[in-house]
Amino acid sequence: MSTRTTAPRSYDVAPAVDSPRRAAVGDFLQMTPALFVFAVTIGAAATGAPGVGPATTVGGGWLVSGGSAQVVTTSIVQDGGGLVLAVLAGALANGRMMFYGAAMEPLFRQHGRWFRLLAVHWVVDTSYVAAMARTIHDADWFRRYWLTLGALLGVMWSSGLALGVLVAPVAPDLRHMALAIVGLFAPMLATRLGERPAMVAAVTAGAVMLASVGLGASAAVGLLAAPVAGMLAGVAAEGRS
Amino acid sequence: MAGWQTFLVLALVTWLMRIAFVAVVPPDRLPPLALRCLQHLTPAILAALVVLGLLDAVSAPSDGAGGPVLVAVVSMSVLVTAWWSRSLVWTATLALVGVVILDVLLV
Repeated sequence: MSTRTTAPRSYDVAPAVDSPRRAAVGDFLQMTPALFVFAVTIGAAATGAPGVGPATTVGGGWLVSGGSAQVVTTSIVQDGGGLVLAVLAGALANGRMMFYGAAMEPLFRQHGRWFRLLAVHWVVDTSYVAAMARTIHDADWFRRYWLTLGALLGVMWSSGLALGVLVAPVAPDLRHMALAIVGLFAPMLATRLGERPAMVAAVTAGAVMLASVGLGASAAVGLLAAPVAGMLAGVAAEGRS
Repeated sequence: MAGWQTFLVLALVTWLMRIAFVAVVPPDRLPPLALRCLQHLTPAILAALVVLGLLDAVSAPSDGAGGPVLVAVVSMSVLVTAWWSRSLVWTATLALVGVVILDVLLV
């Protein structure tokens, strides 16, 4: 078996029947309510933190494009933890982006260098899941889909952060905001549990995440260990199914 | 200034992580086991994110009426809705309503 055929995802050969921009807008609209409120919450929480001004919250948030990384980095800067510690913690929180990049490489492969260098900026949890669930018809279809989805997500995320900065003085403390993240990812997960290996991968990853947090590890460590364990369990389950 | 510097460096590091297997080391050069593993990334990472979100929600201070019991009820409702409806819109809307009830209306 060649490595190409074992690649996780490649272009489908079906004719392009749906517009890439329409597909991107549809995915974006479904994800937006939870993500936008999440961005507003992060923007509001970061406002007033020492060393992290409004411009840093909005601009830095857009540059990093990772909610959990932004939260942990802001928290460390706020506590005077220093640049190295803050960057390491943020990088750990965003470590799963390496997995996403590897999984999506077949989709970027046929594009030019500049597209690949710039377009990976929009590789985040939601865009990865949305793109992998789509039937990607050809390279041009993917380019249009990805640029539209990325631009929309970028504008929405920055707008949410900016709104959070503006309304911070009157914004309620949404301590259970994590429920919105559950509401965003749980239905995505539910649609991907059809095969036994996928179920095994999900259950294992969930258990490892639970154990990581229970053992006192940071969430960022859990977000690296859990998918690795889940993926290995999924491969092991392939042979038994 | 420290904040800007930190976010600029973090953005660069994050970009390097994103580009690592897209332009630097293509997955074709990875061991076959790694490529097989990537086929299970989506359910694995989504399960991890869901469990982390649930843990964050359950561990958040709940001093409103109902407290932890209400958090558990909302969490279960979100999970059940996700499983039965498979609808991102309905589930996310229910979750947001739950957040508003827990953190705005009952505080």
